[in-house]
Amino acid sequence: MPEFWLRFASHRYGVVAGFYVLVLILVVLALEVVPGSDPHEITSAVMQPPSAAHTLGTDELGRDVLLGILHGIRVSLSVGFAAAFGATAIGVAVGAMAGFYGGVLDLLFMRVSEVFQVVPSFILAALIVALSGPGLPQVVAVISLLAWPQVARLMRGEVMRLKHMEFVDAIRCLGTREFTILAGEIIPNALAPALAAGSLIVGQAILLEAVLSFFGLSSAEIISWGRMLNSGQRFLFNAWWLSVFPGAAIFLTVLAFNLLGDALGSALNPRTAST
Amino acid sequence: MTAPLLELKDVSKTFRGSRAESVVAACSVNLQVAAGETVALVGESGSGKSTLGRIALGLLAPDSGSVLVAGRPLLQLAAAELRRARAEMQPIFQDAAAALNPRRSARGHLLQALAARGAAKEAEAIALLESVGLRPGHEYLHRLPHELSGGQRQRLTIARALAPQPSLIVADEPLSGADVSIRGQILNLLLDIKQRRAIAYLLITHDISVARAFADRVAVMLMGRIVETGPAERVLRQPEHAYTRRLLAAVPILPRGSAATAGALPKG
Amino acid sequence: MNGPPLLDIVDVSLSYRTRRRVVHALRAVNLSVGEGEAVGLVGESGSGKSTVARAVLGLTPAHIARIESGSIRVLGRDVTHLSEDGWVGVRGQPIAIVFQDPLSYLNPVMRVGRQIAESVERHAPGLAVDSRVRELLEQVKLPATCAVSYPHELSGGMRQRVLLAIAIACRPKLLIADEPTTALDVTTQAEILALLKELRTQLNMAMLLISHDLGLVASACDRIYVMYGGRTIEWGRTASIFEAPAHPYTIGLMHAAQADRDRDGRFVTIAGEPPNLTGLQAGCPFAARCSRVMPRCTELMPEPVGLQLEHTVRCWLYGASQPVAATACNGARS
Repeated sequence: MPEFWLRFASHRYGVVAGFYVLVLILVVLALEVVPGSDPHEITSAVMQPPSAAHTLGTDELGRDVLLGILHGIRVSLSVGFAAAFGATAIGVAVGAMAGFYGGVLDLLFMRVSEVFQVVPSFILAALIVALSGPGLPQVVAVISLLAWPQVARLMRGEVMRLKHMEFVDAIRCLGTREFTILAGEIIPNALAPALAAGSLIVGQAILLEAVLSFFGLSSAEIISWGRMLNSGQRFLFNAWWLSVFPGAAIFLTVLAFNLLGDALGSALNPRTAST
Repeated sequence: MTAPLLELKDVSKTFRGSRAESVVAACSVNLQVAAGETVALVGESGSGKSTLGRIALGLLAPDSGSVLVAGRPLLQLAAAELRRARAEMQPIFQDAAAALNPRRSARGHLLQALAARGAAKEAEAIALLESVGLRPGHEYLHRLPHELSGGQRQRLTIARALAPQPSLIVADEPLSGADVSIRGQILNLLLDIKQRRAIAYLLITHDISVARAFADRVAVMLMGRIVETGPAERVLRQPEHAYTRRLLAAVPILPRGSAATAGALPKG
Repeated sequence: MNGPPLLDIVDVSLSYRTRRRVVHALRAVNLSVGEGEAVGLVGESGSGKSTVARAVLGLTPAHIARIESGSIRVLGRDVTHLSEDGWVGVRGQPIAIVFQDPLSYLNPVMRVGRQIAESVERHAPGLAVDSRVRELLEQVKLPATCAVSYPHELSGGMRQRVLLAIAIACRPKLLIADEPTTALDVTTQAEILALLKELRTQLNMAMLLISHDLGLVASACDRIYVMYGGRTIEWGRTASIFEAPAHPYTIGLMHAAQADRDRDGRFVTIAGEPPNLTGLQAGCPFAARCSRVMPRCTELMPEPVGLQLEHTVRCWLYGASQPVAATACNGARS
């Protein structure tokens, strides 16, 4: 285990990204505990540029932008993690079984995943949200459905590579059941690329949620960065702070998860040593 | 007459590749290994010997013919019996690195193998490590495969093969991955095991000198068929089949002088 | 055999330097090949033999490998610190090389005839390419129809012949063969060796055959160098080395190669493991495994001692009674 941290620590950007994410999580926790100001609070200080009183300015209803961004972290992270978790769980299970058992199961998997890859994600997401109403659970479900094929593909590839290796045969000779072999020997060795993909999905999820919100397809009561962009787009040239800051938040967070994913990917491989 | 430990009866296996090409890996092969006997299966690449090894271990089902372990057909056994029969035959592979789970320590590997006979205890694992020359055993317990040298990895796979106390070891090119200078060590180890534990071997190799050094009987394989079989001495000195003769003639022989044997013999 | 040797490696030390560690792959290596000679280089992993092959043609990884001292001369010309452009005049002609695994060294999406043609075009521009390719295929005993095949459609032995055809297209004076038959079956190996012998005579080509297989090298070479731990520890005429091997490692290697047994029926082995080349260790690299080790062995690397004409060893067992001066043409004198 300590080697994992050593390998991880050698990726400078990954470490920085890791800290960033940690800070985000801490903010979310802090906001739960500390009775802070209400981001929905409507004041009379309307359309104020960044100032001492309102660090990042206010919007057309006098709501503080900074508070909005801080509270928006919760939505982004929860959607991101939930979707990534869902996609990874489904992807690992389906990919591992398709890769290991092959045959009809594999064929089925290939066709189904192709369907999901071909469908334009935003259209599908918009459709589902339009049909079932806006809300975070729907968004999470949509993203999981769209993203699991990526994970499954990687998992399948690794499993197919590993199942022919001699150590699998050696375990078979001990009389171990096939499923135990899959779960105990193969999956742990195949997870690394899938987990790395999983962390990239966090970024994708955050982005997709932002896009859906931007187009007004999410609940207006929940503050999210995408929502803020949606309101801010009308005032793009008058009140730049309404778009730039939420946009920057999205950008930095997605970037951070991408870098984290890279670092995790190589840190998880017991044999990669950085020269 | 007791049934041989392992018998391959009329085994055939064809692989269907892409573009309707098929490769005949085995064609009506008959092979027997008696208890405590070492049979060398000699052949070049593409002869089908590795496939035969996997069929013998029950890892691959033949298209026709049967694999009999102590007289009973392997693939028709009930689950629990099959597991026991499986534990009687253990493999050693050529590439020790691929034969070990990269995430499992030596301890993990051995305990897993020991569980097959219900003896999954650390003390047993340490004893196994020491019996294959990895001393002191407790120092090697927690090492991962990539933390071991090539020779040490091969020893670990041998220890794992011994853990369930098998009566037959199927060794597929056990020396080919090792450096020449450690080959002798591994050979001695295999020899010790053969002598002390009376384990039978199905030794699959392309290297005649290994067969010569080790085997009681030799079977020569060419393109899926066994072309010659018999006592090692006879086959290797007076080969009958033309292919066997060609194989033996192709092995480069070292020019030797008397000084080489009389000179300093390095200790093993 | 007058004039400078084709290849002269004089006292070369080479190391691989990465951020984490330094590996001393070659230490004070001396090796030479004269015109038309067949020289063998024997060693196992960590011996440095592959590094020698690559260093001679500047194929070692540029940012990591460094020749710390000594020089490499090809036909008298110093190539030790040559630039990439400079190597163009060495690679292919006068020195060509074939490697162990032909599949990795052939372009998988190009027909082999085309690949041989590329070699011809580069080294003999203006020549009638097609007929030369046919000529080369004939020389390596491949049917002319092979030219339209892709590498994966050919057997291992045939691929190796293709590599040979590419190599001799340049009419090299020296062919370096780095484990050319290791990946091949023993019967194919015999054929390739016979082919190499024929090509050598036909083209008056010298050969540096690198292998871990003593038997192979014995059957094909006039002179042999034995390497261990980055150093040349014994060298000389094949006959003399096999008649009376001097270095304990060489003796051990011979016993191992023949799977010899001692009086108790156990196989004669060399104890221990191949060496770790990080960190500069004083003394003989074999000391840790040698059954005849003496205190001096771990302190100082033995000097070359001439046992007879054309047989030299570096081992403290053979005192410095007849030290041999490191000559440039060790063994290339007639």
